[in-house]
Amino acid sequence: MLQHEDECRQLCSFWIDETLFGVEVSTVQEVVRAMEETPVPLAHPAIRALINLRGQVVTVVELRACLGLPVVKEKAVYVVLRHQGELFGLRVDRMNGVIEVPEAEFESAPEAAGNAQASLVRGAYKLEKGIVLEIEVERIVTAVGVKSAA
Amino acid sequence: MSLRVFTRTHCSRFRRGHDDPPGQEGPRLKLTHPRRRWRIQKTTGVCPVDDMGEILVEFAAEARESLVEVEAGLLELESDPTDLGPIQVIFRAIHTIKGTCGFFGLSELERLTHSGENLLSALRDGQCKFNEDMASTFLDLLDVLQLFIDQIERTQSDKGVDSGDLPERLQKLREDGIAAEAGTATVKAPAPEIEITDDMAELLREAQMLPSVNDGVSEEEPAEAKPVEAKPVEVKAAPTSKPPETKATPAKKTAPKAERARRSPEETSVRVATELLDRLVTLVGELVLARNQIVQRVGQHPDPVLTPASQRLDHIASELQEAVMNTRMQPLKHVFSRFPRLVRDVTRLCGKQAGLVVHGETTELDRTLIEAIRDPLTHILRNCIDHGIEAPEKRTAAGKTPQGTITVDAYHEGGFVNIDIIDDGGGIDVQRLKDKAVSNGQLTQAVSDQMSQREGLDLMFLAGLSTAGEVTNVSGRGVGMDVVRSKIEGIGGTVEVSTTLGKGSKFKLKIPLTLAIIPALIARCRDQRYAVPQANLEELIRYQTTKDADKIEVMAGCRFYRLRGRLLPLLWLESILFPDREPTERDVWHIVVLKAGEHTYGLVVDAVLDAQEIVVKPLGGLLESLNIFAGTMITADGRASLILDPTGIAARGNLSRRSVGVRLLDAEVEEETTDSCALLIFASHTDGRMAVPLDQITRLEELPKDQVEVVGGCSVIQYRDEILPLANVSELLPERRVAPRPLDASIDPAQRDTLHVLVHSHGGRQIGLIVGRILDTVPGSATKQRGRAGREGVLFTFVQNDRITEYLDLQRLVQTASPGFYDAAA
Repeated sequence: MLQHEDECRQLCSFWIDETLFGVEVSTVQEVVRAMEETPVPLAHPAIRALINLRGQVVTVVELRACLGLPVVKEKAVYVVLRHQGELFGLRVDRMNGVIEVPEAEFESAPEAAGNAQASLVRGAYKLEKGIVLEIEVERIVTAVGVKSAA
Repeated sequence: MSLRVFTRTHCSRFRRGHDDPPGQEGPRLKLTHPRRRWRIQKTTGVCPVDDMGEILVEFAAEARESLVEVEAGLLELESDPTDLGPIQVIFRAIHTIKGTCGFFGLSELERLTHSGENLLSALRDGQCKFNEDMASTFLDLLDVLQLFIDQIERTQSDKGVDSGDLPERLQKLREDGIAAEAGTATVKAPAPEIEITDDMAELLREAQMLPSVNDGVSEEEPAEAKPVEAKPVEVKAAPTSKPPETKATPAKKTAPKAERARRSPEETSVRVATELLDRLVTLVGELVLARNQIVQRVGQHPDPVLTPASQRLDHIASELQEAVMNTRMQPLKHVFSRFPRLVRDVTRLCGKQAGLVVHGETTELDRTLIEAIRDPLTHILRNCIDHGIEAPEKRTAAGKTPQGTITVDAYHEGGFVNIDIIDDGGGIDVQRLKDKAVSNGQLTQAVSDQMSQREGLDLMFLAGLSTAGEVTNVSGRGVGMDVVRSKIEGIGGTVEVSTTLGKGSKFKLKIPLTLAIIPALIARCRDQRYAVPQANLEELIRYQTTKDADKIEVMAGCRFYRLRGRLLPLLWLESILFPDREPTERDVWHIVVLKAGEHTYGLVVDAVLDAQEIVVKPLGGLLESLNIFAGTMITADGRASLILDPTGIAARGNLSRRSVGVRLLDAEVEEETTDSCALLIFASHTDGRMAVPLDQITRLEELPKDQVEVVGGCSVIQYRDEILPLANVSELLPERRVAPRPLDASIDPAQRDTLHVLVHSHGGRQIGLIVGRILDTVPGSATKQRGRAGREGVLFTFVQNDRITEYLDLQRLVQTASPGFYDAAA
């Protein structure tokens, strides 16, 4: 992916509390409302449940847990991501839509920040008002997939 | 680039027409569309690429299949160089490939196949004899052809593959072979082409050139081929025979050859892309889900029109599912076809001799599973030859034939495909395995001594355990068998091994028939539903705590259910899934008896709901490491649910491969540090309660009474491939002076069909002590207060659970029963 100064990328953005996060839009298959869930015993604490997405069983990851935040009970939204041929869902608070971010406004995350957020976030883009933190989907999978209670 | 090459060559062939240089007789393309020809000539390098690409892919697939036949033919030829039948098959295959190369302008491949074809035709005509060098060279040729085909599939050109000196070697073999033969044989048959008329030759070539029509033409081919085939055979018998004569003679030799030449008529088939098949399977899977929903709903709300319709739908969906599943089934031949070559190569490498016998290669298995078992089977075969079969001298010295035999047997049984690999080699030395494991630090000497034959054999599946003296090129790095087991278990199968020292070994693989749609039992645990594959299901038990209390045994904190003379370990699903919470107390337990490989256990669930056919969906990358789940599914009411994996649950519940007694032993070894060893409390009908140190007991068993035999005045029973001497504890002790409080008539051994036996072992010897009933295990601290012993054989007495219990002198009792028991082994 060429990154020229005047290039723009598109991120699918959503809110966790008052922070705006985003993922590369091409990784997003769809966004669905919260639906009936089946919990998965013994799984990684950030794995919330399984859902039935039109006949496919999709694992839903609780993004708040990945970020080290407490989980809230309110109805949330699932962002269904495609990664290496498989689907998984990301449970977030509210959607914000697809936004364009200019490459010039990118600042990569400081190295070895240590907290859970930093391990997922690859960097931030400055917006007119505020910033959006870009999450790298690969990092979610690494964080959640490897470690489990088996 | 390759496109232009095609164009030029293609055009040049047309232009040249019949002026091909001699020896270059490729198939003649008769274009029926002059306009097409014109278009190609005019094009500056752009060909109808897609069509060409497709045809090339087809060609590659066809060629691959032919190569499998060629390999089989070569190995047949090697074992019997006098039977020239396979040569026809090989020749035809190479000839076809060569011809098609010409069509596509694959000059490199054409050159290679041409030299192969020359040698083959010399062989076919009896101009030279087949020898070892030719066999090896032809096999090398095969390997290079494979490379070519891979390259062609990938890049649509044959550039980039190096034939090396193969063409020259083939040429030389031909020349040397002819020279050698000319020296010995006086009969020289003229090449068949001269005898066949031009028309026949044309027809033959055209027939061979059209790849996909071969099947249809196969009926005519043998008729054409007969005069050609008959030639080499007839030459040996009557040098002056002419083709017209041979056509009339249905010589016994030609018939079987023709059989082989003709493609088997049962294989009327079409080629279908695997993606299409997978799509069919997915769609049928969804259909099954929808069918489940409809049937369930209609079952609850019957309707005069809907009910019969849903029943029809049910029936049709089941049949459709079965048929589609069958499309995924492939005969095991696809895996077994590589074995002869493998055996040949490995035996040569190891300097051994082994023959391979294969049964049941038509047994079918799901396509995806066939790929999964290829490597494990290959490894086991390698192992058999490398470690199992002894060197020829050793075999002869042992009175065996110098050539060993490996038998591969595949058959369907009980919802599984069984593949047995049996060798008549030297067997597996379990003691060596144990010693190696101890020296590797994977096992303590104590545990090793207590292990039975079966457990010792199991050690071979431990990672890093190889008892090979030297690490050979083939195997011996000790990383094989554990991978074999995990791969087979990964697809839901099992691997078992049995052996007899000096006679041979047997590997038994069990693979489930298919994974996609399986019959399952739906169970509930804590308001969630889980599926249990029926393939592992043995039976269902309903247990009531109030009524059936005596069926439960407790040992070292684990509960066992007495199931018809067998102690079944129990695992609570609730405890496994939610280890931090206390399991809910219930009056009624639903026990699902599962068999996972070697372990049979009872899984206690809240309720058993339904039996359904479910579509197995993958667990997903994020959850794959959870070994207690085998996959996911969608229940009839549309919820996502998890499918349990009985093997994973057994592992998680610590039903390790060692038997219960050894596990208890391990648990107690930790307690020993506090210098109080746990005790096993048991009772007899007449003698009251007794105790022995738990660490002296290897195993607790319940053995059928009617299998006890009397040999030389002693009671014995066959136990785990060995003879176990038995002794009744009560009979070993002198009578008590004061009769104890009678316990319970039900524990009188005389009144039961089974015997409770404590197995005690020492230095390789075992003895079984019959007791009335096993009661409990308690920590050694219970013996703090000790009372005086009342009779011989008892060390002291103590009070446990408000009852007086005698602490026995176990060693002394055993010596009474079997005086030489503790002597050093002879």
